[in-house]
Amino acid sequence: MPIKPAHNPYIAILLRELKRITARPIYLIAALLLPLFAIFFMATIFNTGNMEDLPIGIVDMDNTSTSRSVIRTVTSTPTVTVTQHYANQQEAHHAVQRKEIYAYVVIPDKFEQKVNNNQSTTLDYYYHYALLSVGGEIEGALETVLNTVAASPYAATAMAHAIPTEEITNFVLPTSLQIHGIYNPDLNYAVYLSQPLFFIIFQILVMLVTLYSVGGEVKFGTAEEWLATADGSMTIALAGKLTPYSIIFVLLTIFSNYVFFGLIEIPYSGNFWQINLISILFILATQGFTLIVFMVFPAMSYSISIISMLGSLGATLSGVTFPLGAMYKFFEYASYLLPVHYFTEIVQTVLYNGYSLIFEWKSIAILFVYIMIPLIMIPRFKKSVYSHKYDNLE
Amino acid sequence: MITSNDTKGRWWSKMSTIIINEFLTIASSGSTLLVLVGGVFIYAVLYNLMYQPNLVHDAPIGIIDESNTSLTREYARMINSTSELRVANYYSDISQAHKAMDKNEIMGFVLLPSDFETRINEDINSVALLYANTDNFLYFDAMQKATSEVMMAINEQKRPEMITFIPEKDQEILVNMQPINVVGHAMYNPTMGYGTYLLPAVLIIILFQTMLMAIAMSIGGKIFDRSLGDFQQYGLGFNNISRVVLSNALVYCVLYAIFSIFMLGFIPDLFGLPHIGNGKNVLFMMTPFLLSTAFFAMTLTIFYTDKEEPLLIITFFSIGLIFLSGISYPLELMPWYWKGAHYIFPAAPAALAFVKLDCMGASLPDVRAEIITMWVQAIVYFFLACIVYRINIKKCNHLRFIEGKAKADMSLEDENKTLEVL
Repeated sequence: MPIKPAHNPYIAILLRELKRITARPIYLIAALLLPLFAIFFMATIFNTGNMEDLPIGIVDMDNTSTSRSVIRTVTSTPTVTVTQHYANQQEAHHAVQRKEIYAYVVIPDKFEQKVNNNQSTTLDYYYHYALLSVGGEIEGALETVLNTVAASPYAATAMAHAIPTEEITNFVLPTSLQIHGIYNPDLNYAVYLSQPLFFIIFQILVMLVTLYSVGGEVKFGTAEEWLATADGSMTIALAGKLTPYSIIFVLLTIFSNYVFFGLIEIPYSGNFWQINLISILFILATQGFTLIVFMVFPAMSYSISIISMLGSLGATLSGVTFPLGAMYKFFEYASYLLPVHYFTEIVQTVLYNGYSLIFEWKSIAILFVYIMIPLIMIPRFKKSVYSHKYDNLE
Repeated sequence: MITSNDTKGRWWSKMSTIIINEFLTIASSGSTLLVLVGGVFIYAVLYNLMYQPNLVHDAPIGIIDESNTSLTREYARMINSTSELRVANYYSDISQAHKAMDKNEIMGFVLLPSDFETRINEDINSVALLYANTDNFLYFDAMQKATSEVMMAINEQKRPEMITFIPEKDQEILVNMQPINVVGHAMYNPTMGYGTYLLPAVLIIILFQTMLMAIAMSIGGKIFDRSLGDFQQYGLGFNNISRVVLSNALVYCVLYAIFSIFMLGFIPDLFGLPHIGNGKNVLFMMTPFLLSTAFFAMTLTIFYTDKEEPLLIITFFSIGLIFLSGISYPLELMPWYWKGAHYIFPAAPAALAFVKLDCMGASLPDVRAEIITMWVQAIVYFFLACIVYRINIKKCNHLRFIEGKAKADMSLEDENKTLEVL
């Protein structure tokens, strides 16, 4: 039976780290406040997530009952709302330049007359494509609604000549296309981006906090005292140091998933805890990835710039927005270096297809590898810490 | 100590000393140079290369052809010949195709039902079905567009045959009917690409973020080694502090004016981004942007205690800024508090103004609101920066005093100990 409580180096390091965390605000700001802010940001920035009531303009050069009925039909589309009428195209064009409207429809002069006299005529619409996401949405809506308008003379003729509507429909549209968007059929932006973008921002913070907390020991010349507290074991020193952050990150991960899938009700198939387990594994792998980078080059001033760039690249190389498959092969392969690539792949399989994790066992295994590699590099790292080579590299 | 009266006569010489010192600080810090060179030059090129393919080409799609008639084969062939899609494989049933989709082999699939052609021949509307994954909107968009085009082309082809189902007396009327054409025109993004849409805004954000980092690292470093306190020799009155703030800001504005020529003048040409603006207008817009960014960066130093800490906070905002600029998601749809944030960060109005000027060919009056916003930011952040500098300088000297005293106490203690031993 122990009489004197044995000195436990792990507990000692843990307590030491808790003291460090509370001594300066930056740790809690970066590890706790900013992630919470990011959750709030990603949960609210898209509002409902549906692109609705986007302002567009009309140039009505005809001003007849027919042209007014076209405007009414356009107005009935939920995606757009007609906020302005312009006398000519130049004015409308200018309004787009000022970003007062995102698109405009031109109803040409003598439109009614031409339609009634069976003369060819054209409805032009112009949409903003320097703002591609908005422009694309409006293009789809206007294309659909204006094609309905374009088909109306056929309907009128059919009525006039007592041709069955069905036959006229089949004449105009012999085949049609039904589009089924899987998982997110309304193309809701919150469903599409909130969760992945939060984790992309979060992994940047995880990298930076991990690097700063470990790098600080080298930078501020406390590394030897740190190792001494751990009885000279770098493994214990690192484990004790990272534990408090890992706990905060894990709790934040679960909370964020709860906000996205519970509070703002992003649909998900699969199991809530399964999603959490993957997210947690990803966060730990990100910590591992950071250690690898720092152990390769243990000068904090440099490695923190490098890691902030690598983290930001994750936004692109996760392939959430511009698809990896469409990039040059070099970048597609480069993305395999970042943990966020595997996380996105696993989460999308689970969320979008409701499939079990077995499909993604390779990606899961690689995330584990990120956690293992630093363990192998520990002796080398320890040597470089004692060498003091990197202490004053600015 | 030099009083503020003494410094008045040497206003310019003082300023040039501060300016030269700041240049030296940057030049002697490898990590700051890494942010400047890596951030501005490497990052800008890297981003452009990543988005360079610009469009989704030949996205893999699957086909389930249940009828295998000449028409359905034609349908598949036409899908394959669109620029957006390529037929990666044929599947015999939905579950097989779904599996391929889960393995990411295909992004979606088109189902042509067994009665596809027979329905047309019997004058019943024939339906093709597209099942498309939504995990990437650009892929979804490509599939939707390409298959719709194919559908319209097939309809065009089949229409002459369909006329036979119309009563003969009405055929002529329908054949002679003149259509209302619907023509959409994409404005300002001639290639219709994703990179050409996103990158102009990203360039501004890179300039913004790296300037924030460089200033933070320089001043953060000076706070860490307390050398920021040296500025007290120029005096702490508004006149004196403002001189220090202006001199420091000038250094970064000059550097970034040069970087901007590379980023906004050269890069768009090199990578084929829309670049139709008038250079003078862009210059007019960049002036308040660089000033407000420099002062904003200096204001933020109130939060810093060393050289690395700022990066934790600054990097965090990169992605959010793209949204706040209103480029990727319409400002109109955001809740009011995020619209408000658009007015806090100079990068947000700047990205919008730059896209308007250089991608859309807008004139200066069209970006009036953004330019006024940035000038207001420049003025407000200038005064805040002066206050922050004053606080930081005093803090550094205070800390220097305490630390000096602590050191003195320590050495005194040591001396006493030695004496005791003796």
